[in-house]
Amino acid sequence: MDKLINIIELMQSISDKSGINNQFLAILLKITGIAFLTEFGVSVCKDSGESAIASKIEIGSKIIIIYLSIPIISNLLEIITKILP
Amino acid sequence: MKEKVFMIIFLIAIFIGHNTYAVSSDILEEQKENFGISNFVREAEKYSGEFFEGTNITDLLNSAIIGKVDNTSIFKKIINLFGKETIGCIKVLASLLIIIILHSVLKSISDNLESSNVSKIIYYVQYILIVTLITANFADTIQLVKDTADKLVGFMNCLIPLLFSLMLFTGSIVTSSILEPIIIFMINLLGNSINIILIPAVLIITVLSIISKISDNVQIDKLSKLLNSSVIWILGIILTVFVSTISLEGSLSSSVDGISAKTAKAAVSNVIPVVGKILRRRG
Repeated sequence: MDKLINIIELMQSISDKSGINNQFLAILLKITGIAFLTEFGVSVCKDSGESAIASKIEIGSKIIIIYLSIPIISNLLEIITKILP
Repeated sequence: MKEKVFMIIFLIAIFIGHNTYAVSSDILEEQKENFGISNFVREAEKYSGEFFEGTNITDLLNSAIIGKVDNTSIFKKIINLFGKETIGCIKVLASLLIIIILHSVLKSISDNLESSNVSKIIYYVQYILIVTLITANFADTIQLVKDTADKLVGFMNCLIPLLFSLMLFTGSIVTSSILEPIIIFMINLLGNSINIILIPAVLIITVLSIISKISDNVQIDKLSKLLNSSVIWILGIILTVFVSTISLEGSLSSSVDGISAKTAKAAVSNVIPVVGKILRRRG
């Protein structure tokens, strides 16, 4: 657990020095964490023979990931509509 | 006897004091007003941005009219400008590099998950983030290009009447009357074509190349390559036409100007008996 905290702190310090928003890094880390969790859940379900539940867990995690990444996509769309003349 | 009286009157007339005027700076100011130079300086400051903030343009102009042009300060200013822009570019590149490193770290963590769909989604989200940052910087650059093209056209529109009136007054009549409409037309053509044709083409190329990298299934690569090379080609053609037209017309009409100036001098020196010899000796 400590090692994860160290990695996350390193990434935060790097992203502080550069110009990006800190929120984006938080979103990315959350998404990665959700992917891990679904991975655990899916493999546990498959191990105990419930592969249908495993695929539903996958679908649920995809929906949550997309929901979390809405700010990023809306940011992108804003910038694109700013460029267009 | 008559000649002596005449001589005495002549000498007296010479030595009565006259008021003589040397060329003071008033005449310089008058001439500048005639040509509208101060108007031009005021208008040009709108277009040249922060380039001339340090120096005083009127001082530069005055010293240039007298004859000494301060080359070193102008050179230093140009190099300063280059340096500032390069440093800004390097900063942008550094932040991009950091973001890509972060992205690769996250990707290496989430790559070996079993279900490939989840890792694909994470990859897409990270890709969108990177594209967002790149696009923001790109938008700044495009805005700069548009502004520069507009300022170029505006500055030239200010400069050319002044330039051609000066050329008229110093003799090159044919050059100015032929070149002036051509130059104004060409410069407006260049500026407008950059704004109307090239920038939308560059934007389309960007969008197409972003889309083509998202997934391996969608293949728009060749279209974007075609547009890329065609944009470069069009820009090259327009610039070549511009340069060749101006150089041709310039050389032709300046030779005609030389010929007409010599003809005028020869005509004057042959027709007017006394004064003409002076012209011939001078020329």
